[in-house]
Amino acid sequence: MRKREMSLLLLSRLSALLVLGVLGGLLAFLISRGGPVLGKELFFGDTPPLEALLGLRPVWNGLWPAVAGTLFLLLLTMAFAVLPGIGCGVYLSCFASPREKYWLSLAVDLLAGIPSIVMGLFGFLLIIFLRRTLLPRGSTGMLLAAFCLALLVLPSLIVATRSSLEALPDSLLLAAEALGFSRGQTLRHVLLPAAGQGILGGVMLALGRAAEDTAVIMLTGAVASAGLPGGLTSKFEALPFAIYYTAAQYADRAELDRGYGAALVLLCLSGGLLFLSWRLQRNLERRWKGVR
Amino acid sequence: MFSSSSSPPWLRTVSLGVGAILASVFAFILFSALAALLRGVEWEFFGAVWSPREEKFGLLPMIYGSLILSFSALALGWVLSLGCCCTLRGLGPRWLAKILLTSLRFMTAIPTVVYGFAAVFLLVPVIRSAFGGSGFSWLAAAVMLALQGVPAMTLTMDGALQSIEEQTSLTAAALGLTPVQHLTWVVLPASKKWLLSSALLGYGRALGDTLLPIMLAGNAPQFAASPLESLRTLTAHIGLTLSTGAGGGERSSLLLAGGLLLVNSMIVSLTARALAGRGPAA
Amino acid sequence: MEFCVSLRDLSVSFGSRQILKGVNVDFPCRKVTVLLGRSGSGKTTLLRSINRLNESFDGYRGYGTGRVFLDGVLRPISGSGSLPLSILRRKVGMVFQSPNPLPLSIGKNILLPLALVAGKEGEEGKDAMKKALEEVGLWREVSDRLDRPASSLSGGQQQRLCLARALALTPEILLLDEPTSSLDRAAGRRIEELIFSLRERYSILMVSHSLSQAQRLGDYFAILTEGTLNGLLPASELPHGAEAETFIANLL
Ligand SMILES: Nc1ncnc2c1ncn2[C@@H]1O[C@H](COP(=O)(O)OP(=O)(O)OP(=O)(O)O)[C@@H](O)[C@H]1O
Ligand SMILES: [Mg+2]
Repeated sequence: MRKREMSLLLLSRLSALLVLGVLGGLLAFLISRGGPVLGKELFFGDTPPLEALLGLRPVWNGLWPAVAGTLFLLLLTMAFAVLPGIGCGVYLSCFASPREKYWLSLAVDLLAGIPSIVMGLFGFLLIIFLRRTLLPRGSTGMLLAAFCLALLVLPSLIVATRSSLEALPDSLLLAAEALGFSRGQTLRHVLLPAAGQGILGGVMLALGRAAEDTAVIMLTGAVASAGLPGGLTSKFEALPFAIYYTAAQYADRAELDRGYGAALVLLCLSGGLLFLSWRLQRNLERRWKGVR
Repeated sequence: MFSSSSSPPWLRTVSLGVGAILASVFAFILFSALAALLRGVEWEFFGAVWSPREEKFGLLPMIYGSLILSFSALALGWVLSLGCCCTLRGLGPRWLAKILLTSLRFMTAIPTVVYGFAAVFLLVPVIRSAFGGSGFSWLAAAVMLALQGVPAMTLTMDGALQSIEEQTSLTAAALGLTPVQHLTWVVLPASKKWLLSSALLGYGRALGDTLLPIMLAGNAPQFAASPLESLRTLTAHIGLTLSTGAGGGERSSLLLAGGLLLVNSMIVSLTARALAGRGPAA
Repeated sequence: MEFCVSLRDLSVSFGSRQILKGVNVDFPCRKVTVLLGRSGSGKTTLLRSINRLNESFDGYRGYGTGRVFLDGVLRPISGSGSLPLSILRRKVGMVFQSPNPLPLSIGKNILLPLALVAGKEGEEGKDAMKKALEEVGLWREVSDRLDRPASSLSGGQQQRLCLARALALTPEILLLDEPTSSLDRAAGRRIEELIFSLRERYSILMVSHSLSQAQRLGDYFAILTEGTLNGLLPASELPHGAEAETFIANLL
């Protein structure tokens, strides 16, 4: 009898220390190699920052094109995903009939489990299909990548919206109804503002997922050098792809250093997004805990 | 809350549209995979040899690679997660639990490609100098996949265990059980279902991951017999082959690989749903 | 009078709220003492300070002294010279307001605490389980489905299971916190009969909200008002019928 308790105790101590140790080692390694290269040069190489930022002069040996590509990609992804995601979440939690709820949430659950490389493959097939039919000159690029990334993060947006709304106390709804608000008014003026932070947290989480994903963009138009994003249909650079590419193909020490820098930058970006989303969702929880 | 007739029409359209798009993504991939399967009967997609030059497009090595890699990573990661979860639930000192929880939350934010990058320059050289060979191996990929899977698995386990613990801790204390006994003999046995569904989650993620295998496993299309050998997963296979812009049999084999991955993830999701729907909720 | 629990100036607070404000009482041995008091007056808290269950809550602070008479020895409940926590809780069994079987099988609910707390495993454990289940009249009902989940029992059966679980650990004192309040009348009566049959062998402290139940079962009454309690009232001193109600209402 006591044996099981002892072995569990041993296992728990061992795995906690192992995970913490490996994580610590990993971070220390990244920071010690990537930290020193963080700076103006990492992003802009030897191009003057202002001219690079304005796009007047291309950056050859810096991360700026990849950073800009990632930011642009995120913007476009959110443009595709935010409205349908939140709308679908609202519909699911507030309006859907039981049958619609069943099928929609089934679709969302299934989509949430799709490996991102399969989503990339979908994008690739889609563009081939479009080339054969509607768009003979279509090619992989920013727009396609953003569309596929949007599909990839849609489920998490929908789920976050839905659970934020469902976490609200029933009394809130009753109070609004008792005041004579219409359904639309209740939703717009009471429920959505009350759940807003949670929904925003979901958006941050989705942003983080889109920012780190490499498999989708690998198949839908990310390349190692393309300069600043040129347009919706052109190939583009992105941070995660740059990191992946550096690990396999770096030519010299400077490129490798840039890889470490890129890894650190991406880590900070997604860490920051996660932190924001966590804060927002915790705020929401605190706010309604007393009411439930 | 409200009924569907009271929904603004545009909202309904958008939502059902989203549903339709999601469904068509599935249909599209499954259909392509099926078409590829029918078209490529003579390519022997389920053969054991992948050699485009000899017109042999067997996917079996990749299926094998995906399965052994994800199961080995899952086994390692699940045990680690169980241990971490026990630490969080009071088997370890408070301070350790606190540090661990914060670290695990942070780990969910670490991009896969960053794990991969760090492992290429940290773990792979270690394996190379310890065991010889190139270091790019089943072992390297499995270790990193396991590590990457730990936070999600631990946090789901922890959520379930916590609620069961809250429901039963007073009773257990009144009977004279110590917290360790409570966790070992009451909470863990009662949360078998959630331990299982966290394993399912971990399996789905490990099998669907592309970046770690592609960066660390060496990508040789072979049946790896020892952890030090190189292997290629279905996901890595898609990534590697598609970017070379191949056509014909290679292209078709990719579609099939995508279809297989999709079917697998569907099975995982449906099982997880069935598990979550059954029995009393945590 | 022999007593099983003796409390002196017992005060308990959670955070900044003081719940018990100086309780002085000696509970008699092998009798049923019924605790009465308004909702929120601290009855549950008082019971829990006897098996130290209050310590499981955040913000708990306790003052004063408590002693229990167990195994023929009088010892402090906590502090130096006290029994180890798990032995104290084994000797002082508790049944809660609503049935709280562990999420295990019916049999395991009794066997597990027996094995872990009382060290009775295998055949010995099974015998003890059977005896306890027979004592609460549940053996015939569940003997063929001991491996089914305990949650599959009815509320009344679950509550008897909980009682059996406490009895299996061979306690000397039983703390019953409104054991019938979540049950319907018939099931409640069943539990009452059980308590009545146990009165000779255990010292029973019981919280009740029903005056008639208190009168049926109680040998002594303790009335808790705003966290204070001074002394007991023997059943013989209680007026009968409707008068009792006004009498107690005055005391509350
Ligand atoms: N763990 C705790 N933390 C904070 N306050 C508590 C705690 N336990 C009890 N209290 C407070 O102590 C007071 C007395 O609680 P207790 O449960 O002892 O009352 P009671 O007499 O059993 O009431 P009832 O008849 O309703 O069960 C209540 O006001 C309650 O809010
Ligand atoms: Mg009470």
